[in-house]
Amino acid sequence: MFKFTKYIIKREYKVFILSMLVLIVYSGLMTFNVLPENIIGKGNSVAIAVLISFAIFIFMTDRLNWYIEKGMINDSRDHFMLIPQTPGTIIGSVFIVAAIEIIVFDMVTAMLGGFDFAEFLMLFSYVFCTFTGVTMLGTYLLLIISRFVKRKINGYASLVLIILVAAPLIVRLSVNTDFRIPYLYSYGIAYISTCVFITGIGFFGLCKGNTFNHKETKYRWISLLVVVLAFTVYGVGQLYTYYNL
Amino acid sequence: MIKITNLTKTFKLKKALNNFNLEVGQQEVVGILGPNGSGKSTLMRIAAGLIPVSKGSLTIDDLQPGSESKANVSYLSEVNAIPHGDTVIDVMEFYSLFFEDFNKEQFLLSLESLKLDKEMKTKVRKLSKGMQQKLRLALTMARNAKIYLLDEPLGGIDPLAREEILDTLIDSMNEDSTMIITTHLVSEIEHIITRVVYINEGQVLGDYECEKLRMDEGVSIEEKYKEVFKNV
Amino acid sequence: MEFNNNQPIYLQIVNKIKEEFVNGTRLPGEKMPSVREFSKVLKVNPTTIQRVYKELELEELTYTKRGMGSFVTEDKEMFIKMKKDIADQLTMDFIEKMSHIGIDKEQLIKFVDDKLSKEEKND
Repeated sequence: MFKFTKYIIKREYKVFILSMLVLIVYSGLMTFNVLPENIIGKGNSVAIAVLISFAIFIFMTDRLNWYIEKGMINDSRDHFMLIPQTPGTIIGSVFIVAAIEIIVFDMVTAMLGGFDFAEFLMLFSYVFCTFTGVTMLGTYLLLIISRFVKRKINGYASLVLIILVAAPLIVRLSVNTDFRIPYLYSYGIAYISTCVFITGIGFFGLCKGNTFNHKETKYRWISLLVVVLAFTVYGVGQLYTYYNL
Repeated sequence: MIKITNLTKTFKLKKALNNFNLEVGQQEVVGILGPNGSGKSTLMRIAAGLIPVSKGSLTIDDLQPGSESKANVSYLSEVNAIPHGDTVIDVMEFYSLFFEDFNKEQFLLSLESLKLDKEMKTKVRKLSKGMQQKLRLALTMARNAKIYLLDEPLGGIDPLAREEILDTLIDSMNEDSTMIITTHLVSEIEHIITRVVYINEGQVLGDYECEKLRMDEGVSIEEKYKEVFKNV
Repeated sequence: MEFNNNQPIYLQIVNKIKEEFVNGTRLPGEKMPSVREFSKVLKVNPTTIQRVYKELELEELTYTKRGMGSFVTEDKEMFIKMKKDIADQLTMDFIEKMSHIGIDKEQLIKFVDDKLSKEEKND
């Protein structure tokens, strides 16, 4: 796994640093009131900052998704299927790099927004599990769609799908635009368990497909367990909220 | 080395491979010949671990195709699977990193004789089809693998490039190479393969030792092809 | 080297090498190219060359020096025998072909005589 992780980092670090610079520069402009207020307006400039973060998230997710074999039924062109690594290893590497990128991304956001450590941790959890959910479910949906249309989906379709899956999640997250939520707030747990849930579903679906050769059953059981666990946590959280408010 | 038993692969309603049986021993160079759509590529992709089996089994050194077998199998795909933005150096580093049996020196020597050594920094997709094919073959053969799977190594390129590719192939072959080559260009590989398997609609139509075929029946591989497929 | 694809390749190579022995292209005691080199030159599978060398050794036309490769035999008798064998084969082929077009023994000898005398006159 470390080999592939290093490989991804080597390929991605330049783009990542660039996107961080974009974020920092824009925040810098916002902080120093350099943005023309009569055009953008104070409230809107924050919205634009959120939009930029969202765009960076989508962009990074799409780039990292590229490394995961989509198990297209007719034409397995993905280069990475040839190397002696299991798909689980590749997905793991993608998750590790995503975690690294998200930590940096959130550190920047936290420093700019004045978050404390617990808030930073919460932010990281939200963003990371959003990533895993979007990635796994998105990949699974791509597999289904490609089977339907019987050919490989091109890069743009993949990007569109990621946006479609991520958007409702992010909107839901942004309803409470202030990320400073107390550590054990049930809303946070509900959101995270939702994301873990769809991560598990996506994983389970991929196990059934060509991504994992020979229908590796242990992954299916693990992902099923994850789905059930997430659903339980979500359910318990909802009941707790319902009965205690 | 490679044992294929009653292999069936179904895509939706179509059987790409239908009870296919084959055993390939060490040091054999097997040519699988058949028309387009006969199942050759599907067979190779299963052996390379890219798609799973529907029914039956395929084992390589008693291993099912997977991450372990991929370390022992060097596969040349029919289509170019190299990531879009990669340069020649990028792909070389990729092979170097992930395949322990990759011989960088041999690869660079092959590039020289293929006149691609000046293209190290060029993006692969900017190379002509013939050059891409030569590059991919050089990569495949620079691995010191137990088994080589070459899927249409001569496909879609001009006769001159084809000859260069054949030369490179023979150059990289040694007495221990075990290979499976699929092609529909029968005459070009007459002298390279030691065994020929004729395939149609996912089934074996004929399986012969080449020199024995020539000795016993006085026909070339190409002539036998026409004979075998005449009644299909 | 041009091959006839409907006859065993390795035999064709063996015959060609025998010709080379006989006409002096390859000399007694000379080192034969390695299997890999030879397969590259002739553009055939190395396994085919291995078979060729095996056959040559079987007929005692070459021998292997450990760690050094294959060498042409130094036994001049072998060469003489080879020459005779090839001449025999060619003669047999010739006689067979002539008889196929209906030329009998006497006519055949006359043909050969005439041809050879004409050649001598032209020299």
